[in-house]
Amino acid sequence: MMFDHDALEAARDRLPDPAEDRPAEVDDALETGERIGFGEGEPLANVGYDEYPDDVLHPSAGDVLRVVANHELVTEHQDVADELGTSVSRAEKAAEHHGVELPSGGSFEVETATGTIDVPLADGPVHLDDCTDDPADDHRLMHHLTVICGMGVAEVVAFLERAVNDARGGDARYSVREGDVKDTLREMNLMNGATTAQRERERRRRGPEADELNRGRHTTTTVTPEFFEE
Amino acid sequence: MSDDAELFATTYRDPDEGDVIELPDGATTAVERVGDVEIGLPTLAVEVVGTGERAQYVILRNDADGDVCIPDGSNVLGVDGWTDSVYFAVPTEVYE
Repeated sequence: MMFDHDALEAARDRLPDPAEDRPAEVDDALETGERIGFGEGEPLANVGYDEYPDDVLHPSAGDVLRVVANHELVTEHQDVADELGTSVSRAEKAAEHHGVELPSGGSFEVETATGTIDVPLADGPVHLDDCTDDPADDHRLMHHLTVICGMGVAEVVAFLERAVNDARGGDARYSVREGDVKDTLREMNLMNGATTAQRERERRRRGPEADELNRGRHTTTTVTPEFFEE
Repeated sequence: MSDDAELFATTYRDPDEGDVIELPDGATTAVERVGDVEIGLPTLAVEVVGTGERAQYVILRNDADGDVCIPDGSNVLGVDGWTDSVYFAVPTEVYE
């Protein structure tokens, strides 16, 4: 399966874009759904993030504050503040003025680290311990996400960040750049071009002079007063 | 029988956004910074004086540059030149 020539060729042709035809299971896995945090996943209120109040203390912010405070995912004051992109003290003051009851914070549900990520089209969960330190460097995982699942580079980034953070339980925040994923795909010969490390090695090999010459800024033109005389 | 009105004059020192203050109807207000400039940003002070009927208001702040939209019924308290902010007060009844 790792060397399915047709699948590798198709991936090479389209990356960094996603595959047009792929199993619905992959699209389902990429759905972010409702998540606590301003701009993260779907908003908890019944309006888009662009319609969230700039200032939760403003009189017009009451409706959004009420919906967020009563959302089933919201269990403490910090959740309300995170979703609205404000501080806890500001959210508490706003709730007082708007007459909104904030969740009591009585939930003792602790976000636990599972250490595994659910990857679509896989036989079972992927254990992070079985991957390289940075999962974006793991060739087997990258092969599965891009070649088997048909994800594009941006989708891989979004999927990995969410899945790895969920697997780690939220403490150590994992983030990855599109450039890192592209580097891995270039190492795997799934994308053309030199990796960042290869470019850096080449730059060092050629030395600073080559850099200067490449910039083409060594030409000097001297204009004397005679130049303007007819 | 006296027709003298009761004067309400006070200074709210270092108020936070969202704090509730009392304002007389038709009050004269000013926003100032008081304290020693040498030891950092002086303390914000909102001075209020008036004789009208008093009501409760919520202090809010907005950046002073550009067009500033404030809710109907608000009283502009003044501009803080240290932070380029405009402070205004919204009647608590607007929230109900």
